[in-house]
Amino acid sequence: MSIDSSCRRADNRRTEKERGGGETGTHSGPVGEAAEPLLRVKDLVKYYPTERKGFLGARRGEIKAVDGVSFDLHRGETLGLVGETGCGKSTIARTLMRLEEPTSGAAYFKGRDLFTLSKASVQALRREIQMVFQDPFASLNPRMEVGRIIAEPWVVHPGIVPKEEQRGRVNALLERVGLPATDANRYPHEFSGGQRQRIGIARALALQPDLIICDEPVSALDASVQAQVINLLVELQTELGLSYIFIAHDLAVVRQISDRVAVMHLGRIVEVGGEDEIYARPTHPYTQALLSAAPAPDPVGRKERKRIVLEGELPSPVNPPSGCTFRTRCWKAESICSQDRPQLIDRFDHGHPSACHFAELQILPAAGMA
Amino acid sequence: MSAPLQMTAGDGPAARDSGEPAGNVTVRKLLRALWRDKLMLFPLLFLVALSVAAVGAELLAPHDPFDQNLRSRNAPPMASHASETSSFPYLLGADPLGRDLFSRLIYGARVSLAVGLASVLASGTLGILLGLMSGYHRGWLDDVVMRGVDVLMGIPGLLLALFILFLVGTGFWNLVIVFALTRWMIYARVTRGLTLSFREQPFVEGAQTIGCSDSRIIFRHILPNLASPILVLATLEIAIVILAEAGLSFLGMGIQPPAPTWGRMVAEGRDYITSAWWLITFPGLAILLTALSLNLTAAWLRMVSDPVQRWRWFMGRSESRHEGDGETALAYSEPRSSRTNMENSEPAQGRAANGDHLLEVIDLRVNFRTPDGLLNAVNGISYTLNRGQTLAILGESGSGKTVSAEAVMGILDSPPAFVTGGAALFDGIDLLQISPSRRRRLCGERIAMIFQDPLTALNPAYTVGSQIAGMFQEHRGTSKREATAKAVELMDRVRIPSARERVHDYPHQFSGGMRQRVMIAAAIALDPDLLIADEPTTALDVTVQAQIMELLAELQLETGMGLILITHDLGVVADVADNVAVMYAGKIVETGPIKDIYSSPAHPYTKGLLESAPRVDRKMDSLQQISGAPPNLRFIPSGCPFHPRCTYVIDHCSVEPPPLYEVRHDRSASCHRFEDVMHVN
Ligand SMILES: Nc1ncnc2c1ncn2[C@@H]1O[C@H](COP(=O)(O)OP(=O)(O)OP(=O)(O)O)[C@@H](O)[C@H]1O
Ligand code: SF4
Ligand code: SF4
Ligand SMILES: [Mg+2]
Repeated sequence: MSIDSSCRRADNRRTEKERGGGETGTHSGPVGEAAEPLLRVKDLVKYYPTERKGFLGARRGEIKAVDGVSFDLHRGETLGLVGETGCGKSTIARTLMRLEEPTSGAAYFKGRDLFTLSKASVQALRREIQMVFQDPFASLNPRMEVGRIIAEPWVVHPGIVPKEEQRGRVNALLERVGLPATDANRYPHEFSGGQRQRIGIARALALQPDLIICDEPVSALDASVQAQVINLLVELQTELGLSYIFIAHDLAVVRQISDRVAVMHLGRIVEVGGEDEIYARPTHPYTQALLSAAPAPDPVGRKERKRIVLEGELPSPVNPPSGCTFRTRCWKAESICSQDRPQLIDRFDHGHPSACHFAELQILPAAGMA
Repeated sequence: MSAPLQMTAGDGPAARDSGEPAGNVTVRKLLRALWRDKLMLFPLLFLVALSVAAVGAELLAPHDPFDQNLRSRNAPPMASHASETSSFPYLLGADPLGRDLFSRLIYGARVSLAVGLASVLASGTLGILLGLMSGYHRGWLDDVVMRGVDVLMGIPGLLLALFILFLVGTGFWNLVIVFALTRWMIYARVTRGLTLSFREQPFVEGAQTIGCSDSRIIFRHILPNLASPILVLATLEIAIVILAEAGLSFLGMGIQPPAPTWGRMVAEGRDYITSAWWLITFPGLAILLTALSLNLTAAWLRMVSDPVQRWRWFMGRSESRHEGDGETALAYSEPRSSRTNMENSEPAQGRAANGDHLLEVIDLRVNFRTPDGLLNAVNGISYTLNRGQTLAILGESGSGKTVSAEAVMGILDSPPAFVTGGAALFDGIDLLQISPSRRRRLCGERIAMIFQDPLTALNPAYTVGSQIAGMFQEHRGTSKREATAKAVELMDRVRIPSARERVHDYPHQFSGGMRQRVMIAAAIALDPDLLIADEPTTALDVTVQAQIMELLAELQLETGMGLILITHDLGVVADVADNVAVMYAGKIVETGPIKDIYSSPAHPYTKGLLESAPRVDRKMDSLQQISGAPPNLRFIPSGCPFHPRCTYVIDHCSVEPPPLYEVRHDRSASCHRFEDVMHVN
């Protein structure tokens, strides 16, 4: 994908967005300012106590699930969050949704700090930020008909869609996500995983949010169904001007859907930038290792492909290494890496910061078009 | 980009997975279950009759239960009635005051059921509410409630009830209140536990994210999901309360005379046990049958609403039903025609070992007999693996990859799975025919398997060292010391850091990737000729996955072991496989050398999979996609199983199942239009 075509895509979305912008004019910040991000997360920290009560009522230790994460998300943009299991991706999603209280930090959504909102304002916020979950089998109430699942947001937030119109709107939403309207009367267990994920997406759309946080929305789906859901998400984005935070451990999926990508390692972002920057010009050793380990569905030339195989102990979030958290597995580590925590800064004027003392540009060949 | 949105509209009920949510009881399902378990009619009919009697006592009782008739004191059953007004005899006899026992039993049913239902309603409401609140909100409320539960559970309930009744006096409502106070914790405990687990379910979090209030979440989302376990519990509780009420009445602390209660009738009958046996026998029987029926009903409800229980029960039955009947025996048809020609097209002769062929699977068939019917998991697959080579079996969930491998290894759970045909020739020995003891020796020694989830395959109670060493002790009779030394060697070989120190650690002390290495170490301990790896890296991160695949490739190079790699990951297959067999709905739809298949697939499904896979090395404008969903194995589409999703479909396809066509001497595909599929490339 060339750079200019990705710009075009982003532009499209922005103009689409202006259309629906009137309805959500409750925010305090200046409206039309392009530079103002939709969401700005600053120094988000979330520690989980490992032992609720110690001998003397003291905390025993902490899991540093998220340890100082900052990023911006613009309107109509998709930010991909990748990283290996336990690196804190879901925790970011859950704190942003206020399903979990952050330990510290701020997250400005349209200028308001999500973390200091009152209970009532959180309620209003739900209309603007929605979430799609990983497990399509557990994320729908087995005792509710699909129609009621999708219409429930309107029952909880009265005044958005009058009762007599709800039926029609449910049908329209179902059709929008590719399911027949007659499915409104069925129960979740009658659907396959991909179909359930569509239902989850329809419910998220019901409140016409600006931002949808997708936590591994396709990783539980069969390979032949993943593409359907990814395509649906992309279409909805262009149509409705949505912004996404798209969380996944699958690097290929993240590349396909994201405009910008943040690579996480043990509670921190180690590298962030445009999709092309991260995937074609990675600078952080961890990103480089991840990319080299991710197999491409291409048997030609596999013998020549060089692979960075990491050795060393996997670090633990309970007791993360000092300095750079990647140093236990990094082949470039030197003594400074255990002393100074590398800052996430733009080291090559590419507009894509990385957190490594010895960041080094690596140019990866793009696969030829089939 | 927008084209294929309609497709899911097409995949009808067949594509839908018919798994039911745990504990989903609907009236229709209950009736259907009742039809299956006809014996349950007895307790249910008894309970219905009892309820009818209790409600319509005035109409049904032949005599006034209070009508004393001194002439008929202790009249035996069937004695004719004392008064001339009634012709109806004393059906079950009369009591010492000459009252009709049968009529008194009917009125007694009313008392028993009323106390039972009212108490269960009261204690249930109290307990469920407290359980929901403490489970959902936790914190201090939870502490207080659970403390209360603990204390109350420690005191014998009947003693407490007696004590309270002694203080407040007897009477219907007092009794109900006492039962509410002494039984609520049963519900509270169960409800709290379930609420705690439901609270963490994504659907509850989903409700939170759309802004549902706590009370809405508790009553609309959590409570309905508790319905079936609570229903079972309440049924049992009715029996307990009825028994307790009888006990209290027996002690004179229940409902006061002259109201007839079963418990007091037993108490009164005790004095006449030798002279008038019916006085104690019939009320006793009524109590017994009621309690028994309620217990049976509860057990049955639990079974019907819990799929696991139902499954267990079915397995018990099907075992006895199928044991020894000809069906489970292997049937040998003429399998060669559909055989996959992986290496060369010359068919292997009989059972004789064929030079390079390490494993040859021929027309393997496996089905599952489940409570919901027959499920054809593997429908005649054939493949060949040569020494030193890697064959990837690629397929989505439910396509039959694991089942076919487990059949070859002889580790299928049978029942419900049954091998219904085919052969698996390992060095000329048919693995499906040999005795279990011979197979056990072969598997482990010459054939080994590694699984997706190492934690379930490793025994948590033994150190990893002893589990690896066990291989040597069992198969080679090596001494423990020597075996342990070899275990350390192996752990070094699979590159587990500081093997010597970690050999005495337990599986849970290792990370996922290290555990997978432990399992590989145990699998390769005896230098097997064949290793079957079932999704060995699916649970692992990419960086760890790369290490494991590297390790396997190295081992293969060292020992010339043949590898069957089962996976759904196109990338992993591209990286390591020599040949690939693509499975769909229990069949191999395409097979051949990896490079050829990836560069020009001959089956539309393979082609679709390859085109729809996102890639790390390239961002596509939009992804190609396959429409629809993989089929439910209970309803495999007619003709070509892929036809509802196929873009190449022609009329013929839904009727005529495509055979495995030979695409080239070393490739085959089961598609009527394989030539067209290949040429559009
Ligand atoms: N409720 C909790 N209590 C304690 N620790 C938690 C809790 N939730 C998450 N953690 C820990 O926080 C860390 C980050 O978890 P998180 O779920 O955010 O990871 P993730 O990146 O989403 O991983 P995955 O790819 O497996 O979903 C992990 O070490 C995890 O064990
Ligand atoms: S800071 Fe040091 S240890 Fe960390 S990634 Fe860079 S080189 Fe490696
Ligand atoms: S046989 Fe027909 S339906 Fe089946 S894959 Fe080939 S073209 Fe498609
Ligand atoms: Mg997660």
